[in-house]
Amino acid sequence: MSERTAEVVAYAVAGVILIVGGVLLRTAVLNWFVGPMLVVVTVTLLTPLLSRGRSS
Amino acid sequence: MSWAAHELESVLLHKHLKVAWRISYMAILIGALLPDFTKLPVYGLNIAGHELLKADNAVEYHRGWPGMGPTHSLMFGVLIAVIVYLLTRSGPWAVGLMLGQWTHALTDTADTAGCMLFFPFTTQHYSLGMWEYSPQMGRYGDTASYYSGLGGVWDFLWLVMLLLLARRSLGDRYFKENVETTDPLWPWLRRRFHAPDRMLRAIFRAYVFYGACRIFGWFLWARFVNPNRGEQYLDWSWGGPGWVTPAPAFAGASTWPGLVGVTVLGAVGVAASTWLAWVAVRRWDRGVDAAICGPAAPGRIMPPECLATGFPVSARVVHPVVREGSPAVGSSEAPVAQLDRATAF
Repeated sequence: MSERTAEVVAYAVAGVILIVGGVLLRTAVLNWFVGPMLVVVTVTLLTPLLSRGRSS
Repeated sequence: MSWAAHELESVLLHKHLKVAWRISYMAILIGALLPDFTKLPVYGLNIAGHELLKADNAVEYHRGWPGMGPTHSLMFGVLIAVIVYLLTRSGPWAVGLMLGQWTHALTDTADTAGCMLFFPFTTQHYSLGMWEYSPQMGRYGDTASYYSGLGGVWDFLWLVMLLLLARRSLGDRYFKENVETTDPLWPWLRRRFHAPDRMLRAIFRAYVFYGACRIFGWFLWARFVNPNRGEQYLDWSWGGPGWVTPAPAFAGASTWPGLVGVTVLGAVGVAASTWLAWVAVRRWDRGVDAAICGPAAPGRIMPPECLATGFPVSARVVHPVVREGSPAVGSSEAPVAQLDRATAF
């Protein structure tokens, strides 16, 4: 998987976590700090994992 | 109050102002969130069944005076801009914070409580009354109310506008050309935390992405999970939902001539104060330049501290951009070509 594709997938995963986690956990996920931080952490950590996992 | 709109409007605003003033995107975003930094007592803290820090009257505290209502006035943005400029001499940050705060205040006039836009010249609240202001219903009552009425539609409209008018602004190219190179924050993040490109892009997009997702998350919760969804039904009528217990109304002008009078007084007051602040800051700026640097002379190399860091354009300054994997600017390995990407304000 190219890094570009991996990044798009990471954003999609972050979106699913935010929406599903938000519905179930409400403000624990959907607050001004955790929500954006979750996007940054997911994209930063998941992108290299996905691109490395597929290429190896 | 608006929910996701505050996160989404910052990108739209930056897209339309970037060419003219090279304003910092992060400053616009922080400015757009700033008025609600004092919002904690609106809902209070619930710890082990005890409510702490909760305001007796949420609407009075959040939008009124006495209270935190002035944070939703235009002059608050001017005040923040002046303070930030005096501390940092960064025009793109000062103006960005002011414009972000202004968009927040203007956006929040859409609910029934409205904002004292022209405070301290008048305490008149300006409101479109699209949806019922409802923090008095508690945190989740407020959420259910907002996403059961026109508030949710308002957020969704901002998302549609963002996708139609500014979706390219979320792309890699826009970030590189218009965000990263116009704000020293990004090179600093890269240097200080060794942040890779994807992390910087994620920080740039984080609030917009979170804002978009929270529209769907909260709407789905309000409609399908909320234990009170039976009585907290969907109501897209103007000023709805009808099931909300209205907050106490603010006193204001009761006639049209009275409203026009206080509005003119307030608008003139804000415009005159903003102009005076601008003149005072420019004078202070020139005074600092003269005190630190002495007279400019042809061929004289000015020390870096003599250069104003942005708007208003009294000098030019460079913010070198260090790319991933490249040596730091200033080191012996740094190629001169790196400075080609530097930005002049």
